[in-house]
Amino acid sequence: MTQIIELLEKMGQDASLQNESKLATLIESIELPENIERAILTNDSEELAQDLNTRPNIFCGVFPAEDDEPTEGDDEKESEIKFLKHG
Amino acid sequence: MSGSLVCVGTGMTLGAHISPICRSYIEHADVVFSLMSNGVVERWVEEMHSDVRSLQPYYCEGKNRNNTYNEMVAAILTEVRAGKKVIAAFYGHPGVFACVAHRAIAKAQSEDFPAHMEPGISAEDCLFADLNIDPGKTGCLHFETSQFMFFQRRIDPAAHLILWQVGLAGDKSLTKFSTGKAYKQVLVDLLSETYPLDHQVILYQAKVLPIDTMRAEKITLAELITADIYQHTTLVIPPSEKMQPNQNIVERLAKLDKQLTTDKIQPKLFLVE
Ligand SMILES: C[S@@+](CC[C@H](N)C(=O)[O-])C[C@H]1O[C@@H](n2cnc3c(N)ncnc32)[C@H](O)[C@@H]1O
Repeated sequence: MTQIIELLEKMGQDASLQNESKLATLIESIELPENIERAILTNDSEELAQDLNTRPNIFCGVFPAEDDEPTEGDDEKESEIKFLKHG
Repeated sequence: MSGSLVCVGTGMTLGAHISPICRSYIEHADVVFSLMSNGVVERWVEEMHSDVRSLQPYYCEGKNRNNTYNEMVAAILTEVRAGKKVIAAFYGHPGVFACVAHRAIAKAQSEDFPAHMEPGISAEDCLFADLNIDPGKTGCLHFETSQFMFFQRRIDPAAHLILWQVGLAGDKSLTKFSTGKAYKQVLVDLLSETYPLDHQVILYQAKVLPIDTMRAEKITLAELITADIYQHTTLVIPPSEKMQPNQNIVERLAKLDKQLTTDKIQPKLFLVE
């Protein structure tokens, strides 16, 4: 596992590995499970995620179209508290 | 021991974008919370520290996302209050179209804990590089797609328009993980008030894993309704019109220039106090 993640990290970081034949040589030089090696060489990220058994349902939205009102209300209460604390 | 919070960005592409300072904060933390957009990337962050807690389990389809985000903030703050050095790591830039880091920092600071943000490479940064767009060339507007639909906004067709979270277009309930064709139709109708239906737009996806291929699919505005749009797709709408000169201002500035040249020819003496 660590070895595979390290390899991916290296692929992201190393300019010389942006070249396919260099990458293939590196992959051949390390012992990787066959399915992982295939997934990497065929750029199959879905297969790779499955092989590594990663979290299947990932959500990437971190932003609401509209902030919730209770949050703003809470903030007001908090600034009141802070004001009292400092005042 | 007093608690603290730093929100860091890990960038868009695994291994390629994380800054030395963000990595160092993660490695030296007491507790790391992580919110990544990909399971393999999540694993990568887990390898940087022995106590990395994913914020993903807070998401649940059908649950209002504002509640989800507040629960994430609460989880982060509990550890700060317990006196820990807390790092919250977010994919991309922690503060670009991302409310959790902003909310958590504001909350921590309101309770007098040291808290700050370290930037990361966002989807926007990758987009400018991959699509060869300079936001300064004719200007660039960014909106969250649903917010752009719910409120009356002014589009400038001479600038780039970039719509984030287009996969969730029109979800007023904040409970959906994607919206369908009917919602995209409403978006296209709104955009077609400004752009022709055959205007070329771009569906953009930056590389997340080094083995990924970047997506920059050109389609017409009308085709948006049936296009493959995912959670991590960003919609890029290039300008449809040329910038129009602002005659009034240009004339005023020309007058000023003229005034300055005549002043130079006949220099005036000023009394300097
Ligand atoms: C909540 S925002 C988070 C953005 C993130 N903080 C950043 O710095 O890019 C989620 C939106 O970012 C954009 N996004 C996320 N991943 C992306 C990717 N791989 N390529 C292009 N856009 C992406 C999409 O518009 C997506 O709906």
